[in-house]
Amino acid sequence: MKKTSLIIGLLLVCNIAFSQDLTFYGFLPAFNQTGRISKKFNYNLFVSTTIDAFDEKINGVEYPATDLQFYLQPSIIYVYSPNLNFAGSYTYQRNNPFNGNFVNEHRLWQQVIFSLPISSGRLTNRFRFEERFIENRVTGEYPLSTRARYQVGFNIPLQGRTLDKHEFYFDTYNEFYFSLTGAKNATYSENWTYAGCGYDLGKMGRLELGYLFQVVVRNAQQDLRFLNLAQVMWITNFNFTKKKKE
Amino acid sequence: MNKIITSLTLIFLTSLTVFGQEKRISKKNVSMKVQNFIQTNYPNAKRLRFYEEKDRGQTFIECEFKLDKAEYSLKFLADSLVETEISIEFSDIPTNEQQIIKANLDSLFTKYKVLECQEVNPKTNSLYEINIKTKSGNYFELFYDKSGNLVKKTEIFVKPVPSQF
Repeated sequence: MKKTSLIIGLLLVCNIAFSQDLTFYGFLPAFNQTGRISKKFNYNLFVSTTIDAFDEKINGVEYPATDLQFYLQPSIIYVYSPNLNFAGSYTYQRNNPFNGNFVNEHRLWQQVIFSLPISSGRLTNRFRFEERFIENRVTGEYPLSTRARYQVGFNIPLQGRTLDKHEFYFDTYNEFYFSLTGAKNATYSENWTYAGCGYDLGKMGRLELGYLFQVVVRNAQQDLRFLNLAQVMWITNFNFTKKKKE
Repeated sequence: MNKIITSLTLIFLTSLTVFGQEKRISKKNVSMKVQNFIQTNYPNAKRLRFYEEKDRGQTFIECEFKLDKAEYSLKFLADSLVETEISIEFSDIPTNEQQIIKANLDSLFTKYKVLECQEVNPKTNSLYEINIKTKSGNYFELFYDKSGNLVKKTEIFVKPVPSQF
């Protein structure tokens, strides 16, 4: 028993000693526009950039502040009912966009969102399947890898039963990322946790400010990268067609 | 960094009280006149909830409660009742009017499902508000007068859940 405890203890000490977990702090400005194409179909455009805002020196290695990622996601949403939405997208992602070591990614995904009203809030379940084509800078090829994601979220108006103009709301979610096929560091490879408050601007949409915590398995040794982000998102719902009223 | 996030969050939450348009209020913040009205007319009301709603410079008091399995919503302006909504079953509508409304719905839609039914201002300018979903998955809100005549028909566009990341 003592021997086993000693071995476990040694393993833990070794793990702490050689662990190369990295922690960064930054900002994530984002824009999210949704508009109606027809009664059932909507489009969505989501654009964001992830900025590591501070220079860090970890274990003698310098990590200068930089733009980590540019993300462009147009998608088409099919509204089956208020509680059931389907969507599909082509997404472009560029990691380290302004550095020489940038990596491009082309991605296709399909998703279903099932939501339920709870009290005056709404619980959402989002399942997404992704086909990722990540650039290999050595070969210049884009090998296919797949990933499944599950997000559970909850949003609720903070003033009254419905979100009206000039009112606040609360939004939170946790998303689990599972790398299925292709190059991967772990199956459960990423986890994002978010909590934020939003304000309804009326015609100008909504403005949301929150804290996003991303955990990524960054190598085969299962070392992690923690990213603490202040997320600012402008959410609009501009429709360029007239509302049909009878 | 943590200080910045904390400060921003605090500023954001503090401003809640400044811009509020609708908020839940406790019974003690509701005038005795409104409380007495509810007590007199709906003595068996259960699960009472009060809201203060500001709209175009006017302050409304809204009271929601349950009574005999139906949901009631009463709206007051300056202590006077301005609107009453009662959730009812479609079958609760008197048979004659029910048949007229059904005939109208049948003429408008080939196949539909009644999702929600409300009686609006039953003691004054009474209307029936009916929400339906059609076979093709479209949503409509229809208003009928006490005789079952269609007053207004509006198509409801369901908003999608926007995709982030």
